[in-house]
Amino acid sequence: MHALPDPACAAGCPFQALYKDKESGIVYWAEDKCIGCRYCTITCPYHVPRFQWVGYNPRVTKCELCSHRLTQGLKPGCTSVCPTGAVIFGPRTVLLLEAKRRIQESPGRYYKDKVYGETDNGGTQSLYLARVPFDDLGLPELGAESVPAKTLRWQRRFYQYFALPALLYAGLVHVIRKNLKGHEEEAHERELQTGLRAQL
Amino acid sequence: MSAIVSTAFTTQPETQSATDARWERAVPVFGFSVVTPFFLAMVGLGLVALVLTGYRELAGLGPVSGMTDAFGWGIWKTFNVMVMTALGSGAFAVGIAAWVFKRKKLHALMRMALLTSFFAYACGLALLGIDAGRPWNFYWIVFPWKWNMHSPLAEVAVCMSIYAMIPLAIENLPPVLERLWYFDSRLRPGVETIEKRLHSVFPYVIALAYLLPGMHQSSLGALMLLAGERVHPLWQTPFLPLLYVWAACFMSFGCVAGVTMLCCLIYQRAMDMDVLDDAAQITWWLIFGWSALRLLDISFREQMGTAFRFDRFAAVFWLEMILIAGGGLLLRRSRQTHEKDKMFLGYVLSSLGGMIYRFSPTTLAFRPNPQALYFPATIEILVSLGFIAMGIAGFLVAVKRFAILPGTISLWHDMASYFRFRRPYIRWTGYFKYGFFGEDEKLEDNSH
Repeated sequence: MHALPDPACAAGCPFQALYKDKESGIVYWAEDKCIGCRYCTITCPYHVPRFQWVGYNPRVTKCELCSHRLTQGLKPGCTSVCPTGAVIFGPRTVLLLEAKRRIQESPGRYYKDKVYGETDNGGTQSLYLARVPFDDLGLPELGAESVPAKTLRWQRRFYQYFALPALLYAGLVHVIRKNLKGHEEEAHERELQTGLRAQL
Repeated sequence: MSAIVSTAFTTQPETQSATDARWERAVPVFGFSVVTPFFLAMVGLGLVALVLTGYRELAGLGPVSGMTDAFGWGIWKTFNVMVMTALGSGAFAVGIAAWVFKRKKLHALMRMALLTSFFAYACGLALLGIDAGRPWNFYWIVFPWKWNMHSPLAEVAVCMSIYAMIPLAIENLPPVLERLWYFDSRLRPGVETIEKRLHSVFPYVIALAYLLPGMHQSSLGALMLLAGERVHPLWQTPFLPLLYVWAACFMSFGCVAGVTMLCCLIYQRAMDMDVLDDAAQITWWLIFGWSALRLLDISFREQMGTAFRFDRFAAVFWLEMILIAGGGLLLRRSRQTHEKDKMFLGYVLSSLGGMIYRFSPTTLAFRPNPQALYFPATIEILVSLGFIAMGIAGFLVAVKRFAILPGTISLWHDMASYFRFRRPYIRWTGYFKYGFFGEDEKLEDNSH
């Protein structure tokens, strides 16, 4: 789906194996960074990334818009062979205009007269028009805010610049230093009482 | 457990009433051999798991597990990591109560807490590595600028491995050094130097040992936030990280105190009810606060109605709540009446409820689509249990070789006499300075 602001798969990926290309917006998978944790398959609301379950060297597969063809100046495979123009390729703004034009041409033909992906999940780069409910196609209603922005808001604030954890650490060190000193003194007293070596 | 026949040295004062016993010193378990049928069974299970792990690395995850594209995570992550490390948060929860909130009695349980934590985390980390499809790429962990700092999973992977390998391992050093100190008098100057250095860095290490688990135990909850509506609304809440770390606290109290009580039962030690009552009281308040927060959160999100539907999610929810609250109430009662069996049952029930709670969001209450179901494959279960069995085997060796389990001062002297009798080839210098027979070995010749 190549979600616009922050894709959930890339937001969860621990070592940035899934990353959004700044220029094209395509979400790529990097073979040399993926540890195969399959968190992307849990988080993607569209079930896009798939894990290869068999073999010692599994890969995560997803649509990368035939990037090998794009570099040769060709369109992705699916759009170049589609005989009816059901799947088309182009810049997002152009596609959005085309979708709006199709809706205007035949009002009531499409579900809710809506382009899925215009604002859903913060906007996606794959846009859908459908005659059946989007839910039946595996495109859930997610609201205008992207999933990571919605769910990880507090998480992101807490770890911003690592400031709060560092502050917490300093406080803990202060308290424990004080308490450790008292504990060591007590242990020493007990050592004198019992004649046995102190255990911390 | 088969006990080697106890001699007169090891006889416990059996008539001693519970409140008389005071845990003042960690004492190794003596008079019980390490190699028992149970121990061999645990080692065997561990070996089976190791062989199956080799097969998994070659065949891939599909042939050995019940995982699918819908359920991308199986019990290796959801049970061995999510649940077992929560049980193994004793070093975090008991430690904070003892060192930060000055519950001094709990220092008696600290070595048990540190040891159980160490084995639980080692088992969890091992399975995190086995569960990863492309583990050779883990080397990125040493380049912090390659981490995705906002990913809960990066936070878990990085924090958990650093925690288990550095602060938790260092915290577990004192019993090892102590054994070296007693083992041979020639080692003492070296051991004492190391101990001195260790004590000077201890505040920084201990503080790190509380910060890191607090971060990754809450991030384990944050993992499922990104899954959004796939997690049932009774579990999916913005408070999931807080509820997760809180559940880990009362579960680990249950694990530490429960395992200590079980060990006392098996190894015939007197229990110090002052310490256990203190732990039970803290656990009860933790459970009370956790249950209140959870119920308030569900009602404020107006999801209480889903708990009264007739489906598996409501059943799991009520099972959790009844086990946890029932266990908590038992603990509260046993604290007043000093009933050890009720207290033990309370710990078991509340920890069991907590285990189901930590297991639910990823598995029982995870609904990737209406048809998807997950049940672990045989090999998956064997590997999961095998690594836990290895942890148990390690624990059994450790309590018999190191001073971990708390006991009375007189038990320490019994132990010293017993070992002098059984292991005459060890240099026993120092054990008997104020020993059972009252000798002062400093007066004797130590030059040999």
